[in-house]
Amino acid sequence: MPFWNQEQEFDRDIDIVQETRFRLSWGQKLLGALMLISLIAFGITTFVTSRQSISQAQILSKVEAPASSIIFTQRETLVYVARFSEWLAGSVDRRTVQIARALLAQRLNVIDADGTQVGSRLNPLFLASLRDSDQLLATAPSGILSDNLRSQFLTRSKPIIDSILLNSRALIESYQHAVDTQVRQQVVVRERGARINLGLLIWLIAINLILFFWVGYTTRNQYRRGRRAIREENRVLLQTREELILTQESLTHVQSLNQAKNEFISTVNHELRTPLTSIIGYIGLIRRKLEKESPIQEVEPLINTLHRNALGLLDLVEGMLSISHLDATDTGVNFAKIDLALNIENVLFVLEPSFLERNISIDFAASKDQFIIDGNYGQISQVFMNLISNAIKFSPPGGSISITLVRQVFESQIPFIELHISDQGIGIPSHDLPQLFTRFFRASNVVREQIPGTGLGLAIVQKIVLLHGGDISVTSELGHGTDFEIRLPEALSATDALIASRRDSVLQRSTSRVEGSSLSDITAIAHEIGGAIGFYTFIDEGRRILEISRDLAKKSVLADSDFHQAKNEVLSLLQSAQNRIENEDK
Amino acid sequence: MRQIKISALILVVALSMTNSSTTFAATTANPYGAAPVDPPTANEIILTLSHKSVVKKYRFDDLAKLKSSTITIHEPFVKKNQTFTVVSLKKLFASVGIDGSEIVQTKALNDYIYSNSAKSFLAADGYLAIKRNGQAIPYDQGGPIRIIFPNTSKWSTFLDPWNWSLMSISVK
Repeated sequence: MPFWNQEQEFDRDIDIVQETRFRLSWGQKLLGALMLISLIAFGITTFVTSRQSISQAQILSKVEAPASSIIFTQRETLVYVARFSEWLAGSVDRRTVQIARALLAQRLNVIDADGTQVGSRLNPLFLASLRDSDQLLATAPSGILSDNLRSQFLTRSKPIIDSILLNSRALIESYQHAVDTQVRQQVVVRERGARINLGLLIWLIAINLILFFWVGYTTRNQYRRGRRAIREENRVLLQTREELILTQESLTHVQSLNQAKNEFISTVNHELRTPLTSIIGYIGLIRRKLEKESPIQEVEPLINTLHRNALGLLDLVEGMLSISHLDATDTGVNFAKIDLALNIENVLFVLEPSFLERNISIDFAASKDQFIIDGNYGQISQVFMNLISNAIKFSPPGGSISITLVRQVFESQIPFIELHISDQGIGIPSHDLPQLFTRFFRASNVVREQIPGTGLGLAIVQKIVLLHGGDISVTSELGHGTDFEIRLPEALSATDALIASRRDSVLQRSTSRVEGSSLSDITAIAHEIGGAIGFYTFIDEGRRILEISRDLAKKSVLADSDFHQAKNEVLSLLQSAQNRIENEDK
Repeated sequence: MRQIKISALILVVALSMTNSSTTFAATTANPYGAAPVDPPTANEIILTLSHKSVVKKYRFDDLAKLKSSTITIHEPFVKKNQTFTVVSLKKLFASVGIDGSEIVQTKALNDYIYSNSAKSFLAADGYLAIKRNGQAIPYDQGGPIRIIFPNTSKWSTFLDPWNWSLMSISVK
């Protein structure tokens, strides 16, 4: 079971994020909304009641002004009555009384303007008494009242003065009552507003407390869940780390074992090959001696079997040595120019006895100096040796083998050489094809027909082809034959090799510059890259850099206009390079 | 026919004028007022201004001859805008040599008295009003003379110094 599952890790990350994210339940949201509504209601009622109610100072002010008016009204009334009495006594003239009466009227008028509206509740009996006094004065002569009229006016005035004084008291009480009522109303309104506000305040505090404890409780639980999730994640990470360490150790151990195995195989094979060579040599000597002298019919088959098995064992040792050596070889070791046509001809020369012996025809025709690659001559020879000898081995007597070489050239790519080795032999079962290049694997029909072999040849071939930057594939039809296709990169001229190296470096440098830049000056970078691209005509590389730039522009804050400017410059250079290539082709 | 139309027009104009004057009377008349006050004599003193041995007595015509101006204020008792013809207290105080630190006492016909320093009166920019809307101020509306303060004064809403039916200004 793989210890690392990226998908599961991603899911776990989401779980952790969800566990640790602060969330409000619907109930909490509802409570919060209620709190908000209450707060707004509190503000509105406070505003409204403050407009309706009055402060303590305002109440005092409202009491003070009417009280002052009441006192002054009472005073003016008494002054008027006093002046009236003085007039009756002959002390003052009528005008003095009239002036006192006018000042009383002024006071009564003004008290209405105070806003207390007491004038509307003015005692009609009081006003009637004043009117009576006015009429009485109007009938009197101006100036000081004469003695002969005094008793007459005194008699008429007495009930009027009594009525004024009596109703003045009633008027004052009415004023006082009106003022008291008004103040009481104001106080009631103020108290009602205060009660509403107090109720809302208590309600708000209660909601706040509930919400506070609820959110606190929820947050604590979420925090605990998140902490548990993080602890679990840490545990998994530690476990993963331990597994990685174990795997690393296992890998190191396996690598050291593999190296030891290779060394062991190399040593053992080397030690086996030396005596085997000697054994085979002596067997050949014995066979030649027996043929010349007195052959013993019973001994000859034994010697032949011994010789065949010794050769098979030598093949096995040679194969294991080769593959062991290839495992430890890097690409490009002892590379030189190889003419594939010449190489194949040499191999065919070596194998000529084999295919002549079985009357197998080889169809191969290729011009020299046309198919040149950079490679290791010995390794490439081994590839052809293995593939052609296999073709001979699995072809029926009288069969034919076709070997073709084709040079493939595609736009903007290094040309490669395509090699086909086709036989009309027994073929390979389709279910065996996927494992055909596996070491020591032998096709089921080969094993069944007891055709000798080690199962290392094709593994060696594939390894060598890969070391040369090529690839190999096989198509086969059981009973009809097999076709191996090998594609190897063509050797480049000195100029082409230089351009290729420049191409790689330009692409590498340009990509890293674009990817690593802050993107603030991508236009300048693109211009520089475009110049290099235009000079070397690296059309595909230019397009690749454009794609990278486009991706970066999408991910970054780079303005579209900047990207389009860079894009246009690069595209312009690419277009000019394209035109130059086309003109050169013509 | 034409004479009838002219007569009708005259009647309408006359009626409208009658209504206008009635409305004016309703807004200016005191609903608690008494019969008209007897007119003063030609030599009636309506203001006595005294400081130490200096005593100045003013008839209405004397006051009307002083340098005056008009100001419009929001009258705080009837709570309406009214235009008054006024003489500045500063000028009156200076005419009898009232110093800023002295205590000035204003007294009304009904013996209402208000006292404060002269500099307070002056700082409050006080005026003696002798006419309202170009007419003499009736007794039953605070006349014939009274003390007022402009809207910008610090005493514009402090009503104690607004002495109606002023009779005298003296120094205590």
